[in-house]
Amino acid sequence: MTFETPTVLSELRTALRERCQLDAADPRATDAIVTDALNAAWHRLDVSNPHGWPWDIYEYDGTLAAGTDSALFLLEGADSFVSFRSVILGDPNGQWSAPLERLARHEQQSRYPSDSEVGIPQTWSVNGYGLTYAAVLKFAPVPTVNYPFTVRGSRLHSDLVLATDPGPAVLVAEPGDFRLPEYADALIEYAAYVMYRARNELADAMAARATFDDEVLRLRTNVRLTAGAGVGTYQPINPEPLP
Amino acid sequence: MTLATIRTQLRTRFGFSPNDPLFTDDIVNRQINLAQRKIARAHDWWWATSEVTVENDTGADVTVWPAQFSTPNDLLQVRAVSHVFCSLDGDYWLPIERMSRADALAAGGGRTVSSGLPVAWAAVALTGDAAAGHRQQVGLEFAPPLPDGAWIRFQMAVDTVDLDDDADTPLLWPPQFVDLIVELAGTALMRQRKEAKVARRGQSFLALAARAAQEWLRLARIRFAKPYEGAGFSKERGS
Repeated sequence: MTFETPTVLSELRTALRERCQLDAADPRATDAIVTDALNAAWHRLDVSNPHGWPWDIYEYDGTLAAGTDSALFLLEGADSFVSFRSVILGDPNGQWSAPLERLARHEQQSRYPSDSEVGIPQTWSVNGYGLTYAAVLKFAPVPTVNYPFTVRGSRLHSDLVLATDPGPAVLVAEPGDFRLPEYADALIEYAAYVMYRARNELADAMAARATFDDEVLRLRTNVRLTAGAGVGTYQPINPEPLP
Repeated sequence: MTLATIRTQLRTRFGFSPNDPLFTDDIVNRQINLAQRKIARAHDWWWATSEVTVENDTGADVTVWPAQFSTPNDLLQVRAVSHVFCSLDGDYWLPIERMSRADALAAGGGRTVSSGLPVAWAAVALTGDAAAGHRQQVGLEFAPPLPDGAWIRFQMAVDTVDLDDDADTPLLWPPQFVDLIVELAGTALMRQRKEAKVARRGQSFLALAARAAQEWLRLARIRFAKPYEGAGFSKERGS
């Protein structure tokens, strides 16, 4: 291996084959099968931190058009969100901005019972879309002019990044250009678990799985974008206990 | 991610041959669809909810859906309904309380006709409708009855749709969930193959796969617990 930290799909595949001592000519370890295992690891790592990973933080700038009360965001792909932290409304002249208040949708409906009530949006709510995995942000009151707004939250990866071969740099293609050697290690360990398990080499599978758990724990503990105390109010992303 | 792709991933990961007569495409497809159902039941996934606004044009006190809905909503099964608002003009909405059917009738004074807004609603299961594709319908009963032309707005939780064609894609699941579908369906098929008997060093392939599926589900439940982060101002009553 001539590279230290795999950053593109082909390098990850090479690293995984080295990890599992697999031959590229092995019909049980074709590029498609190895890529599938890496994508399984990719997905698994996505959900392995209940608080979300720092590199998942995402910001989107949009415009709430006059007469419009909602904005739709998919859970995958470009400009997607899996959870929303704040919505900042700007004024059309760029002179001020203010955070909107988040309410549950039924509370928003009770506070603004008339659909035709117009004014500067004061609140937002988020609900499912029902038909597909998407989120609908509802604003009330309904604006009469166009307002710029900024949504901050977190997003997840999608297969699209890894499906291209020789793909875009896996980590470089993600928001924030966040590179971590442990990230690639964790990916490879979980992919190794999938590969070993498919071959019924269960002891090796369990060893790879244990290493993956160690890597995730290390990432959860050590990877953060800030250090030390701040002056802001601490707001955990998901206050549920760690599994 | 299509049904055909999921099937291929499952066979690759669990070692099923596409030529195995015990695990034909139909059998694997069935387990994939069952896995989808299990995931849908495992948690109130927030993106599987939706807000619906519909005009009552039946003149009855029972509003049935999805029969009244236009496509594509009627592809989905409604699992539950919450937070009902009613309006006489489709603009000004008032929240309506949910009660048991008996309490709702009493609250409405037993009236069977009304030109005003109802005071209560109750949900009833309607199994007698044989409309195509509707395995079971849910009805909303209002007391007093909802007048003709009045409007209803409510939030509902929907169920997933079976994958039938090889080109079908899971409608309700983000790509991360494909692995969960594969693990759950693969575990079911392994059980069918009686893999539990095959144990090495105290660990069987089946036990390992089952544990992986459960861990996946647990992590997904936590990570996708809700669509917002941080403190808000709502009363968090949930739906």
